[in-house]
Amino acid sequence: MILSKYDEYMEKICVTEEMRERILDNIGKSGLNPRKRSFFSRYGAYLAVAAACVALTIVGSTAIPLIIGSQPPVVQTETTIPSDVQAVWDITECGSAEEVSTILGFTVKEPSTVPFEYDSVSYTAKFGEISEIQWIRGEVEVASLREANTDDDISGDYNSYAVTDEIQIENIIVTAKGSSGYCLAVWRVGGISYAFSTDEEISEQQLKELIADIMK
Amino acid sequence: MRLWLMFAAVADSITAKDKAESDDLRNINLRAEKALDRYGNNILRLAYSYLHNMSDAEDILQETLIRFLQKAPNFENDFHEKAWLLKVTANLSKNRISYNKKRDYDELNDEIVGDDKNDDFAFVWEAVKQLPPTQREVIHLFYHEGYTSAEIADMLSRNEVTVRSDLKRGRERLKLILKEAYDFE
Repeated sequence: MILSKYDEYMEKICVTEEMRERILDNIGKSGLNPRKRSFFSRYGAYLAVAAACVALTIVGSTAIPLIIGSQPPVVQTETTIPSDVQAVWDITECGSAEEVSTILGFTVKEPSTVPFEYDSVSYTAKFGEISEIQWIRGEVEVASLREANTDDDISGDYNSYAVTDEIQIENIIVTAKGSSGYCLAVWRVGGISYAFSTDEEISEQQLKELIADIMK
Repeated sequence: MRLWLMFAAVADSITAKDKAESDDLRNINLRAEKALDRYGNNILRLAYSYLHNMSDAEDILQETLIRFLQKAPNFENDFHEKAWLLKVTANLSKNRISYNKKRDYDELNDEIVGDDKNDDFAFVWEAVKQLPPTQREVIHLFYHEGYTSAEIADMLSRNEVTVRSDLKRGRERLKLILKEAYDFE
């Protein structure tokens, strides 16, 4: 398969240790570091206080009560860029939904039938938290079902669709999107978020049957 | 005496600012390292798929990380973070193509292909290079990165129908170019 050869070639393109050091070094020199303060801005406060001392000495002790009444400056620390959380970037190919369930720690559901043609199904556990079932025709994914123990929308589909409906399927409220039919559906049950997407739109009835089958 | 207290307060304030700057610097460095370690290869490969040139691809990787650190965006999840980085990479790479017209510059990188330069890799790479950039980018993101056509459309700010069409045409074109040497399907 030719695209596996392309993949093989791409896999050889990697960030080397030298490149890594070079890039980090250049980023360090790029001016991204916290703003460099001028001599005056860095030491201006010291100079100002020193100047005040001199002035006060000249003016005499009558000025001191005025200064005593003043308050020290409030210390304001600059906002720091929040450090992000290290996440595990792993993708595990599995042989079944059960296998994915074992890895992720929740029951991964899958439909017994689907309203489209496909040649193969792949099961993947992603990042230690997301299950993805993909239906593949030839080499192209025709539909996918993602599941994760999260409140997030895990569809990865942020397009605007002509139609967005809320469909009730038994006790589940499903947000379905598409144009003449539906190609994306997201819902949440028992703390698990689900996202089904298909390249070929399906009817409301097909979607209802599919989701009822998944959640049975 | 009060004046000396004021002087000490100002000194403390400067020390606090220095510490904040030090924290900023540490966080920037940490964030740069994490992004580079987690997504460096993905960014480099996408840039290379556009530019066919390791030097340019490395520049794009560096520039992408700088944009990332400048914006310091907060993402809902890893998908968003990676997609954001690849979107910036794609845009910067396209800009680079426009500016330096290096689309036809550089061929296979000897360090990458090693002794295979004269066979499969060269043949495949030349075939992929013949694709228009719009088809090449969707082929790369779909097959190599594993994004769906909807995700690619979102990432590249393109219509999903067009993405699918480019994907189909790219595959057909590759099939045509390579049909004599490979069983494409």
